[in-house]
Amino acid sequence: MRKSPQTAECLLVLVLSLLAGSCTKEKSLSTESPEFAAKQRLQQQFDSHSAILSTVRQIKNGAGISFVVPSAIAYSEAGDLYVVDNNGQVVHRWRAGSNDVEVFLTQKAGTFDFPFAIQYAHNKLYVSDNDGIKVFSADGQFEKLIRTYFGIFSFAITARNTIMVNALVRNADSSDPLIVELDPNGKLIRGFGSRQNVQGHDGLADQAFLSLSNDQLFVAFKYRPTMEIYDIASGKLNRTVDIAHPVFRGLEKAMQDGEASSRNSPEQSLTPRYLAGIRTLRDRIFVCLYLPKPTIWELNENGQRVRQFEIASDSPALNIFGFDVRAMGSSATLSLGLTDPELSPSVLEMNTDLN
Amino acid sequence: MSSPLPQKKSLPSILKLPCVATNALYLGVRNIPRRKLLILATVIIANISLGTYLAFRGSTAPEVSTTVVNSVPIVDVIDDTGTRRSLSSLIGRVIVLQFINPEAVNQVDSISRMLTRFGAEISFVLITRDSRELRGRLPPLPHNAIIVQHNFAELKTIFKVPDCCERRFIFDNTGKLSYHDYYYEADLTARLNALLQKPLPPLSSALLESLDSLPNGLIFSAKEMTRRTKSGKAVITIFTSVRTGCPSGDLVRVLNRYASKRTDVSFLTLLPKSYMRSDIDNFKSNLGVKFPVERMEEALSKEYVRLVSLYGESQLNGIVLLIDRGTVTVVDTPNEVDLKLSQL
Repeated sequence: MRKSPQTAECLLVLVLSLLAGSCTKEKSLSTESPEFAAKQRLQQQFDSHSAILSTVRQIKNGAGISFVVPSAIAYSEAGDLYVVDNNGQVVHRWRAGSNDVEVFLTQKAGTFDFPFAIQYAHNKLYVSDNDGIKVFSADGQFEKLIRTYFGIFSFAITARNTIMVNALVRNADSSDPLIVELDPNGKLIRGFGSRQNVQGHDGLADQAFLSLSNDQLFVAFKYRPTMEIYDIASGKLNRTVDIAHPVFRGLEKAMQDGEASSRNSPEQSLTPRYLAGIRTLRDRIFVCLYLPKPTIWELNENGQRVRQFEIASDSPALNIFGFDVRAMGSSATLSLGLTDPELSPSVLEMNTDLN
Repeated sequence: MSSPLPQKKSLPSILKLPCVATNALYLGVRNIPRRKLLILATVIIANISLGTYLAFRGSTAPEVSTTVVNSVPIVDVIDDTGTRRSLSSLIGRVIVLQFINPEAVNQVDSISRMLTRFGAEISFVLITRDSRELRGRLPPLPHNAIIVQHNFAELKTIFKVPDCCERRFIFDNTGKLSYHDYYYEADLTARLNALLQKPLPPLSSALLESLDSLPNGLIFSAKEMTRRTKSGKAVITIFTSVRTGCPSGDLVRVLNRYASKRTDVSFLTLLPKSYMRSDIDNFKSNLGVKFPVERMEEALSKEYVRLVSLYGESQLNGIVLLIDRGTVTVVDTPNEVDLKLSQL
């Protein structure tokens, strides 16, 4: 296996940053990240007028749970929260109302190969990994492996049990759709939506989180402050919604300014993250914004912002690895997976009303 | 075939997306200026030196004579049976020193394979936060493998392993650091074989020898067929796994392109024997493959598994065999595939 320069660069940045963090508390990973620093600075400048959501439950690494590198979370219909650990190769279950987390699926249950995304639908748990999508019954029995041959960034299960996938494509071109729909056995039915295919960007601009309503597919881009809404039946783009948070407006420039003095060449680019997840609930859309003070926008079906929430957490979020929402009568329970500047993952749960 | 974030290896505490993408802790910054990295590295080394000195001054932690791990450090370790020994006493053999998280299954699996394969020839030092858990997950240890939990945090500091992560260090039989990484397994077998002075023949030679040993089967038939067809050419590609986000997905595109242009050449792709018929169907429909796709038959699969155990899967995924009137050429360098196919 021959490593690309980019991989080496990623590793070097990571290792140096982590070492810096472990040796000098003042010079932690957070201060080495122009994205984090710029977002923190900008977020402090703006009066957010947000409703503050307090944490009602929380799981922290080490407190009865051992996260290695969690990568996604998902609620079941019953309100149990599943946390997939990419490097730990397990799925944890956090039962509704419980303060204890259990290891639900291990490598032995389904021979995970770096599980990444997770969805719970129609009483089954779907976990994507390097082999494809693995399907488990509600009690954790392995049912089948769906080999898709698509690198899967995120996916969603439709009412017809088809699978919408935002695929990772190396060297994608104009023939590659943003979304592919697969039948329940993983066979391609159709593709729709356009990718940006930014040169030298490794497809980052086309990585997106998916959520479904009855007739629409909502696509929230990780590296663009944008949500797209597609008609499921036709695959046509109905609407593009800018997630115009004030921090995002000045972000790229702030990051560039912060880095400009030490940059060697003008072609070096900075790629901030904007959105960390999306979930539709009844006639509402909840979008999680990638900010140190995690922020959630509640939008109506037309993409207009109805409310804005900020999460009251002990420490800022260096990374947000999961987001999900579920309805409980007239209220909604939101959960958020985040990694703090000390690189410790935790999962928070908050409640709000569904007015 | 190569990949930026390979399919079958992992970066500890780095989110592993399928090949194309970056990781969660990679903060979206591309091309950090070298000058900045150099400054940062200098600061880090200085901090580590000072930190290590302060950490061990007057403590009962292992003795440290150096802060640079470019050779086996002069450190005493106490294994989980209570036996104290100096790491330097292991010099004379190749040493694999691995920080290991018993919860991370891929790490445990990887070291289990290494223990099984090299347990008789190499000294293993497995440093972990939970020796009991680790021992329970490993096969019976050979006599020259030890598990160390005592002074775990201090050992991490000595070897400069970040709190979040695990790392592997390989020292040659003189005690010099030969290689260190996370817990990749990609080319590890070949590296260890080289350190043990058991160099392997080039992969292409080994593969051709393996193929010649198969008296029949799909590849044998393809060779025979090329002796009879007008073009006399065939292209066979063997995959152990394929995804669009990986170089393997790229290779399928290249094959598709040439297969549509060169209808006089026979194209065939072989997938693992364990795949089901529906997996083959999905491969063809999802990746737009029009040429034949089959599963490896028993004998070929066995040979492939054997070669994977010697050379690593990364070297054997996406091997292209060019057959010209019965003569097989192996293309095992991804960059050469396009060129070689264009010269068909």
